[in-house]
Amino acid sequence: MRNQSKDRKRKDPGGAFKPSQREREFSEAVERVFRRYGTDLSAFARDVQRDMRKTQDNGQPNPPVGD
Amino acid sequence: MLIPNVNYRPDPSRAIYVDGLLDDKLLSRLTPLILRLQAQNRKPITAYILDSPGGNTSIMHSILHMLRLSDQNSSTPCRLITVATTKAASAAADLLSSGDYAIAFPGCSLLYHGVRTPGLIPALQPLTAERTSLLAHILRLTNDAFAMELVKRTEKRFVFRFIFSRPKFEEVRAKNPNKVLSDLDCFMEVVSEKLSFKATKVFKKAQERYARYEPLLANLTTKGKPDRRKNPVKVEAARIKAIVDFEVAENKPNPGWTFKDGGLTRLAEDFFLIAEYLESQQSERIKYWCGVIGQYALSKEELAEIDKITDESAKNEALTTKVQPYLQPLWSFFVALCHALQEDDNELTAEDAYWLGLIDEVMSDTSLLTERWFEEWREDPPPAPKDTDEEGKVKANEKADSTTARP
Repeated sequence: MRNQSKDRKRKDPGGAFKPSQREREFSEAVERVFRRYGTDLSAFARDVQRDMRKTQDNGQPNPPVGD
Repeated sequence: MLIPNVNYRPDPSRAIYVDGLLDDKLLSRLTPLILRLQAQNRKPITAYILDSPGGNTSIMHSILHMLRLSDQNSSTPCRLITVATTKAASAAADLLSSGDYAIAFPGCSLLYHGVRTPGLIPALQPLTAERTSLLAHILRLTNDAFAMELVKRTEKRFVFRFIFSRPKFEEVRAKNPNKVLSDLDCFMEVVSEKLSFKATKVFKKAQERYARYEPLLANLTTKGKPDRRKNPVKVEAARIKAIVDFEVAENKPNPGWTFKDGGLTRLAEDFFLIAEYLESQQSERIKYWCGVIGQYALSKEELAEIDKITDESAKNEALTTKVQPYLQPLWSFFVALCHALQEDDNELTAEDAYWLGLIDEVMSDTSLLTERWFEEWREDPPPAPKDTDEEGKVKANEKADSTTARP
């Protein structure tokens, strides 16, 4: 069965939507990128693509995935 | 730099493989595997969909429920990463989109459509006019429920596509100097250019559906604001009356038009359309998204204005008030799109699914911004400080030591 009791806890008695832990982590990640790049997401995308190319050019395998 | 995050990376060592029809046989095969993975730890589970034509939606839901099981400590369910490699159709495509992070391989074929209920047909035999009408009603309700479920599962992706496309809106406006284009118009234009021919059809259907909201709502609001304390049946009756008036007025120039010949079907469609629109308007989730990505939707001046507010909750309230008008039309359009996906057969490519918010990532396509990038991105570490002598010259041997010693 789905963990319904937990789902229920996520909503206050008024029924307002409450973000989960993962959603909060995601908000923090968005905030981190915003602090560095502001609204210029194209610059963010360029930097990430450059980092990915660097990994490919060096012939490096995918780095180990951390917890 | 990017630091790989387990929540976004498929892991074949903690995976199940969905291949072929979604039926009892598949459920029996996957159940022990899922239970074992659940018992091992609470790390993400990857569901690879290899080549599936879909199948029974209740089997798909059983698999999903099992994947999202908690444990005796009431732990958070394991995160689900879904990956489609070759083909995911019907219920298998729904399974793909249900992933907390959904990836499709380039060239993968995806098929979304409404609910089919062949299982009900024998129970309704012989098919009389009443029973056919009942079947249509069941299908409509099931499709509506599926559409709203799809909204919840995929809203974040769609909001993201919108925000990432915003820098291109000025280009779209520059290309159409004689038109007054809203942000949503610009977004539709950006997405339309990215879609395949088949995906364009469903996108247009969603646009038509969305375009119908406006005159219908205008007609409803002229009849006065519905009193929520009223009996819901009375509220519905007022809506139906307003739609009847609207249809009659709209079809005045059409002498052959009657309620009997198609008009009544349209009335029913409009009634459900208005219900879905009003439901999406009252969503608490849209307020949440205003807070998360609000800063990307506003101008520098608007953000500076909000930054002046010192009280945190007042600040959030101000952000939501400012951003909601930007996001609300997008939200309503997205609801229309999820409903349009439940009509007919919609064959999509992996890239289509990305732009329509049905998946998060197209494997190895680095041109498409993903949520993963946000979570994995970290500032590059500052360059190692140079060790200098009294005259400011770098000590060569020590520098070499330091660079090799530092990560």
